[in-house]
This record gives sequence, structure tokens and C-alpha cells, in this order.
Amino acid sequence: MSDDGKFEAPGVFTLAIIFLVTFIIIWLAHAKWLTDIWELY
Amino acid sequence: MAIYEPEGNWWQPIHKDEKIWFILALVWMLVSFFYMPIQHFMGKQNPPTESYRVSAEDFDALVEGMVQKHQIGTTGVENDVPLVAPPAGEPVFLRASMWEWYPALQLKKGETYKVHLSSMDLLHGFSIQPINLNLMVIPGYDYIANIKPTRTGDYRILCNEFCGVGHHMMVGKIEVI
Amino acid sequence: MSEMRTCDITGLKIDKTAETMVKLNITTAIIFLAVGGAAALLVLLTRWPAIHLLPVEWYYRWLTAHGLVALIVWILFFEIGLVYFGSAILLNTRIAAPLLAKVVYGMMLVGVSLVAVMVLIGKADVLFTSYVPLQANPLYYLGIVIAAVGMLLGFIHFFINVAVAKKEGKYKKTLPLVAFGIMAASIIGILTIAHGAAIYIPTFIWSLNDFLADQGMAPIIQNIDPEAYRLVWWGLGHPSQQINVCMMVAMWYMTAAFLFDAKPLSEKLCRTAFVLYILFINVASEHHLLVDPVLSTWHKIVNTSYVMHLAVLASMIHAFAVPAAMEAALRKKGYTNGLFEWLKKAPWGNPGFSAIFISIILFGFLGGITGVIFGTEQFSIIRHNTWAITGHFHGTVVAGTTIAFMGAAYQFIPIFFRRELILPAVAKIQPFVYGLGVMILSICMMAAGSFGVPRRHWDYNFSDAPFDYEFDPTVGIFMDLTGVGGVIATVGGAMFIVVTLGSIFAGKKIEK
Repeated sequence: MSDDGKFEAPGVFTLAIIFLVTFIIIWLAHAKWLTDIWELY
Repeated sequence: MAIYEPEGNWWQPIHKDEKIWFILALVWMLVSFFYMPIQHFMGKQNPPTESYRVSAEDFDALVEGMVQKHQIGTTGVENDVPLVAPPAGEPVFLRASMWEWYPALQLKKGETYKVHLSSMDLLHGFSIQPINLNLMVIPGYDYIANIKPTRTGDYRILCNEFCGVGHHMMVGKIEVI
Repeated sequence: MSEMRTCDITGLKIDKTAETMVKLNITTAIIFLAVGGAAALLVLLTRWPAIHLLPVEWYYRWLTAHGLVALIVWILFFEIGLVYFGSAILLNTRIAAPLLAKVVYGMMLVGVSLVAVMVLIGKADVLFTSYVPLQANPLYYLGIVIAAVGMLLGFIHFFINVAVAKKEGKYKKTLPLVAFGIMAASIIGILTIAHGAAIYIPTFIWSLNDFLADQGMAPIIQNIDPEAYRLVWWGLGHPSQQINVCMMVAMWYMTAAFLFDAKPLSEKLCRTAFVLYILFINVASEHHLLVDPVLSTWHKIVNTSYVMHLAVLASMIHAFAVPAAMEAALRKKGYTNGLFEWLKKAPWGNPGFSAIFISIILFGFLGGITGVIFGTEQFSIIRHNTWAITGHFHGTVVAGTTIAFMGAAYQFIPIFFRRELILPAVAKIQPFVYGLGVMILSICMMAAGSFGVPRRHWDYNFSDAPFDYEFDPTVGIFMDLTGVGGVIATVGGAMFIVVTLGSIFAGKKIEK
């Protein structure tokens, strides 16, 4: 139960990183999309 | 197991991989969080922030006033919506009602316009295509959007908030020259 | 006196009345899923431009029905079943007030039936959100209030059962994690329905104006401010989805426990995450109002981003913790080869497992990512009221909650209904078929919406509009693919209904 430096779930950790990277890429794609519209305040 | 009461003292330190994941997730959530207020100050596309109460009659009078002053022609379509070219620096009034956007507008690229949006009856959805700029139009409220068209072209205003059986017929026009 | 039996699968001591209420509510839920799914097909085939099935009025009518039945009725009946599961069965105790359980069920059924009738006879063409000044017949609102009071009593019953269980020493210090999750859902449920009362009762009174006028009486409530309605309604609307998220996550943990004897790596982290849900989702509803007038930017930003991101953090914790618990349990059983042997060797042939795992992946990738993005003020400008929003919430409540509840139902059939699954070959592939269909539907709706296709809209070609507008031809491909995904999902849904109802009523009985 204590923190001895070992990963308990390395497979899920890998999947989680893939998720986070996907999230960041899709988020950045949307930020880029914003530059295509008119200015709005 | 998660279907039994946990044994002993379960308030234990967190495993290394869960701890790392928690920190990464938190950092990313903070980035997403700060983006909103930072973009609000520095960015060029933000939801407008000015609104007032207005009655349907008063708003309609403002719309017709603008049409009378700045109409340059008609659009020659079924309900013959007037084509109006308000000069930069003068307010623009756009009226949503079941089922039209009134009037049609001619705007100049690179100029900023104060566009006042209100509805005569139900909720409507102001949706400029193909740029996909979307705002809500609420009866009883004047929502003021400062808009600067950045490209010329012939744009359409769709309605994307359900407003009855004629909802799909509600298409307006903005030309940018 | 209540009758108890000992379950030979889980070891739990099950009270007969509690079990009956679980079975009754789950079965009712599945029947309503069939109705909601049929409505979905009608709506899908209308929005598919090549088919354009229903005429305009019936489209909006069936869309109203689809929203209510698929999003609320199917899910709430299932969740009230989970209330008895979490507060009585998991605690090896009885239902404290069996009569209350029957009243809850009765009120929900009566309320829902009244609503269904009013919608289908055309007196409530207002869509699920019923945004004022749109006005339905008073009986529509009354039906909703009756059903909601029933649901409220159901969530309150959770706490009555738990209080009695504590008094009788059925648990010592804290609830099992799955019950803790169902408790979090019930707390949010009570707060949600309080918002619902705050908006539906005045709206009901306002809808009486025509009737009052006919009697020569003055209106009691003359007008309802449309923006105030939106604000309070979404105070009901969004937290109602967080009830679903809590219950879905509870089902994830339950499956890990039932199928793998899996323990969460950190009870502390999981319980804290549920508390984050309770604290923060009740406030974060303004992401529905980001491009509305009236609300100030600071209000929108604090409500939406500060609070919503903390609730999302909780989801990211759970979405890690559950599969991590499964992985840890499977590694202990010997599947230690490489990063993913445990996953490859997991029981993918068991629809209880596959549905849950598919739910975890699709909820995160489809629903979760897009929810945070569209809930950002600047991104809302380019997505609000487009079909992308519809794609997002089909990623959360269909690919997430509904698929998870399907997985739970597969597990409940042997445990509570004491039946074997009929058509096991169909059951085995059903979560994959449904998951694939919903995934295609969700992604293609979002793609079409990113090009501006509106939601809640009868005609892609804008017939009879004064100005023509044609979408880019690519968008037409996404419209067709959405149709394909939806049809696959309908087939997957029908497979689920046939297998579950068939098993419940005619499956081979499991003898002790």
C-alpha cells in the first residue's frame, strides 16, 4: 500500500497518458479553429 | 472490495502511478481553467458582455429606424427583406422573430459594428455560417455583440434554437464587402 | 418481518422486498429504453437528409419524447433501482419503508405516463428543455412534477435505509465504496430535484393562464423571464447528468469488485473524488449559458471553469482508478506479461465486463474531452446549439452511462433475477455493436456540427427559407455516416432489449 516507486497499474497508466495526449491535441485543434472566425467582443 | 466496507484505516498514502496521474490531470485542468480568463483579456473572439432589458416594441422601433435611415435596396426574395448598410460607428439592430432575421445587412470588412440582438417572441439562435459564430437571442433582452468581419463574402444567419415549425425557414443574410 | 436469502454469487444477504424493488425498477427502465430507442430511430431517420422520414411537427414531437424518455425516464428508473441496491442490498439489510418504495414507483410511472400522453397528442411540442416562452399544456408540467416528487422520495429513501442500517449495526464506520458512490448520486439527486421544483412549479402555474382566463380569472404568474428560466432549468439539467456520472462510476467499481475481486488502489482518492462531484457539479451549470446575455463574464468563468474543472478532475481520477484496480487484481492472478496481457486476457466474452470497459473508454475519449472543450467560453462560440453539442452528450450519457447500465443489467440478471442469459452469442457481441454505433454517431455529429449543422432542426436543406444555404459536400458525408452509426446503435440497442427482457421473463432459472 505504500509508495515504494513501483507502478501498480503500468498498463492503465500508459492508456491514461494516451488519453491526456489525445485531449491536448484536440483542445489545441479547437484553439486553432478560433482564428478562422470574425472578431467578437 | 468496493462492495464491502473497507477494512482498518483506509486513509493511506496514494500509489505512485495514481499520484503522478492526479498531478498531470490537475495541471492540465489548470491550463484549461486559466485559458478562459486569459483569452478574455487578450483574445479576439469572446462572448459579448453587454446586455440590457428591452421591450419588443421598443426594439422593433429601433430596427425600423435603422432600416429607414440606411436601407440601400431590397433582397428580392420571398418576404423581400430590406438590405441595410449601416455605417461603421452607428449601431446595428437585428430582429429575430418567428420566422425571419430582419433585415439583411451589408457590412464592411475590417470595421467593428455594435450589433444589437433581440427577439420579438421566442428564443432564437443567431448562427453565422460558414464561420460558425453562435449567440443566443432572448426576447426582452438586447444582447450587444461587437463584431468585426475579417473576410469578405456572402454569409448566412441560421437559427439554431428551436422556435416552432418554421424554425428551418429562418435564414438571414450578411454580405461583407 | 422481511425475508432474507444469501446470494451464492456475491455472498450478500439479500432482503426479498429490496430485491423485488430492484428488479421492478430495472425491468421498467429497460422497457423505457426500448421506447426511447424507438424515438431515437424516428428522429435519426428524419435528420438523415436522404430519408427525411417524419413531417415537421412529428419530428419535434418525437424529439421531445426521445429527450425525455432516453435521457430521464430510462435512466432514473434504473437509478432508483440502484438506490435500493446501494442502501439495502449492499448493506445486507432490508428496505426501511416498503410502502414508500411502492409510492415512489407509482408516482414515477403515473407522472411519466401523463407526460408521454401529453407529448404524443401534441400538447407539448416544446422539446425536453421546454424553454419559456414556449408553453405546453399544464398537464405536461404536472406530470413532470409528479414524477419528480416520486424520484425525490426515492433518493430520500436511500438515506432512510442507510440511517436504519447504521442504527442496526449493518455497517460500522463508512459505506462500501459502491454505496458511497450511489450516496453521492442521491445527494446530487435531491439538490437537482430541488432546482427542478423551483422551475417547474412556477412554470406549471404560468401555463394555467389560458385556463384561468377562460374562467374569468386573472393570471397568478403573468410571465416567466426567459433567461431566469434558462438559468434555473440548467440548475436542474446539468446536475441531473452528474447523478448519472456518479451512478455510472459506481457501476464501474461494482463490476471491478464482482468480476475481479478488485480493490481500489486508494480508497482515500476514490472517496475524495466522489466528494468533489457533490461539491462542484451543482454549481457548474453555466457552461450551458456561455453565449447568453445577462450573466456577467466573471459569473460564467467562475461557475464554469473553476468548478467544472474540479468535477472533471474527479472523473479523471475515477477513470484511472477503476481500470487500475482491475489491472492490479489481474496482475495478482498472474497476468504480468508486458503492459497489456491483463487486458488481452480480460473476460471480453462477458458482456458485463465488456460493456463497462467500453463505457470507461468512450466516456472519457468522446464525452469527457469534448465536454471540457465545449464548456470553455471561447470554444462555446463555435459550438453552441450546433450538432456538435448533441454529439458530445451522446458520448457521455449514451456511450458512458447507458452502456455502463447495460453492463450492470447483464450482471444483475443472474444475481437478482436468478436467470441465465438467453442468446449468449448475441449478448457477447452486443456491447461492441452498440458501442461502435454510438461512437460513429457521436463523432460524425460533432464533425457535422463543427461545420455549422444546427441541432434540433428539421431540415438540412432549409426548404422555404428566403435565402439558400448549402453546406460543404463533406458535411453530407458526415450526415450519412451519422445515420449509419445510429442504425448500428439501434440494432445494438434492440439486441440488448431482446436479450435482457427475454432473459428476465423467459431465461433458464438458476436453481440454488
